[in-house]
Amino acid sequence: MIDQVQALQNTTHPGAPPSVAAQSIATQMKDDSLLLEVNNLKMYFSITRGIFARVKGYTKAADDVSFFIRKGETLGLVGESGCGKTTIGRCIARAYAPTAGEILYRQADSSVVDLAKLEGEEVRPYRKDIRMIFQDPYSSLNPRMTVFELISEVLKVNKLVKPAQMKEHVEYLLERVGLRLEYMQRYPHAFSGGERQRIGIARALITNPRLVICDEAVSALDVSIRAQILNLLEELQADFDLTYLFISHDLSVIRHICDRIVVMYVGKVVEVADGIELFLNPRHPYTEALMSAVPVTNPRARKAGARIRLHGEVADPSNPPSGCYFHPRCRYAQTVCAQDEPTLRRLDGGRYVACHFAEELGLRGATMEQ
Amino acid sequence: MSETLIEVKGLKIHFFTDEGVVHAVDGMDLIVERGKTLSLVGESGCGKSVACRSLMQIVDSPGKIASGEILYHRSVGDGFDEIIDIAKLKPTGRQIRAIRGKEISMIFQEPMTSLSPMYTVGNQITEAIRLHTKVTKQEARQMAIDLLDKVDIPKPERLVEEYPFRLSGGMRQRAMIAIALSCNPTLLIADEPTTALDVTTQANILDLMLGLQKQYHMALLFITHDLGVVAEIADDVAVMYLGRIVERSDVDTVFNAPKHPYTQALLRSIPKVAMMREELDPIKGMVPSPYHRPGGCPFHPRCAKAFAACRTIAPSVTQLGENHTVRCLLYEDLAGNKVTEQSL
Repeated sequence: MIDQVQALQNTTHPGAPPSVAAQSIATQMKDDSLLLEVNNLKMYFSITRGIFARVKGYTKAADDVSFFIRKGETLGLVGESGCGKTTIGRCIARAYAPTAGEILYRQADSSVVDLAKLEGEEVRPYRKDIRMIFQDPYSSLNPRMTVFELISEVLKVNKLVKPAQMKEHVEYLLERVGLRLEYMQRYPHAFSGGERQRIGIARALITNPRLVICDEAVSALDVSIRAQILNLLEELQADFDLTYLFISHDLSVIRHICDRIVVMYVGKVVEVADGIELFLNPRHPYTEALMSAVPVTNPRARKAGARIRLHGEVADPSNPPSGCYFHPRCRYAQTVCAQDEPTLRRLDGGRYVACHFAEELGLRGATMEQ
Repeated sequence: MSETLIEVKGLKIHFFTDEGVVHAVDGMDLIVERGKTLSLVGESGCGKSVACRSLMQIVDSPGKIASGEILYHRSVGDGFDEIIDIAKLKPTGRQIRAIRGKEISMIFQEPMTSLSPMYTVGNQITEAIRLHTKVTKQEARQMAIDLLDKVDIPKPERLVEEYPFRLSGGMRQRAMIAIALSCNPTLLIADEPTTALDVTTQANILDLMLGLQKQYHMALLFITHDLGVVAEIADDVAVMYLGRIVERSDVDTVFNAPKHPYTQALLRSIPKVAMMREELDPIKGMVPSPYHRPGGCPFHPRCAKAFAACRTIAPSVTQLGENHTVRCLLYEDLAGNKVTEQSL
């Protein structure tokens, strides 16, 4: 199996230089402050045709993705639909088996394990450490289970708690996420979207996890409810010492909750930076375009006309353009962009950018409000 | 020709369900002006979509317009208006069908479900054109190509032959806009047209809609829950809560000097890009169940400024400025005299 993976790794990009960023990140796992480190992660989905399911090609949902998450921080993963951000989250939670790459996870006793290499039952012990909160509070809860059953299921399956203490555990968490204890015997249909999301959060936190992957956790909620859930997530992070990987397409939410942000485009990381820095000084043209597209909540700062318009469509991950994937839509593109693929490079201030001209371009950040 | 295009007065829309009657729209007053963009803002379930659907008489069963007027000022040339009460028209009648899709047209949120998968894009645009204007198939096809070109679709002559599943979300929404514009409407209703789209696509679609609005000089009624989008495109804003307009003013006033506690709370609860991080100030509780509407002011259980009278007295409309109305007891002198803004 490992041979196959290596063979695939070698054949997919013949002649491509090893990513510099990956090397520099790889040395950092010695650093105690890192909880998770993703190195050159690849997740390819095969496209099949015909009754014998002949493999026709690959959709490269995540291609050579490298980043790390520090203990106790909130890392944002942002990008347009189809850029592979959910795929990355699912790989880390090991809902998918990655095609290649490393997912180094530091356990509580500070030993390091590569989650990407685990198979079958070996993954199970880490399932309680790394939990997920899903986007759609309507389809992510089994309608035939009561709130108590939903939340305690994982404890029962993993035999984490004696049945007699189960109720106590669930009660404690229900209270923490702001649900009333009487709700325990009710079914999901009796709850509103915000309450269901609270159930989803309780379900994720019941195993006392260390890393929580929030996959568009507030996208389906109304503004007033969204603010409640965002505050709750921040509160719980402080109380339970949690680390979040926060996946979202909504930049204002990402800005609000994240310490550092990873920007993705068609399966690749294009920029990594600290929260406010990314917004004020983007270094990748795609980040600049994203920032410029965010509506500003002040009519006096309207951007009409001044906005950067991205032409064309997001590239197809099964048939990506040559060189930099963003070059057909990039307004700064030069000939080299169509030929050479830029690697993710480290710049000053803990920032990583995958652009040939990151240093030369003076890019515009988000407009300051008020 | 007056500046008013549509005047909604005391509109009530009720849904007769097994569990009881839902008052989805409960006494709404609204004026849509010619050539302007009015944004209707509110959380899900506040009745904004149903209210707008009633302007075209396409409220789904078991919903019914229970009372109220929707006065449509139809221009008949020479500066004269003919006033039609849309609320009184039969949903299947000849008169409304001449207006629907021609003078008033609509774009929906989900571009995949609002386009038919069985017909090509070209077919669906020419259908609208040929229904309302007397043109040949060939002419209609050419018009469709021109329209697709107007909404910035590359290679329109090829796209008219495509089926919707071949298009991306942004392209589908552009095709929807082309259909809506096919008969030069005087009012375009857009029901959350960009909610399902990515932010870069959303920005492009918003720019496109604003450009087309100027070009066609049509009124735009833009329904959304995204206050960022409102700030970008609206001239006027109407904030809706549980079937009523609680505040209405020009966009600058609503964002910089909101008066209704609900508007204020909504603005406080949104995270802002490029502002220092601070804790959000959410609205407590949630939108009440439509079967159990609170008495008095429907917002009082969640309102930070509620006082005893809010529980029993339903506030009426108070005029604060020339173009600024609010429905809140804070601004109403309960003895019957209207308080001025300064005395607060």
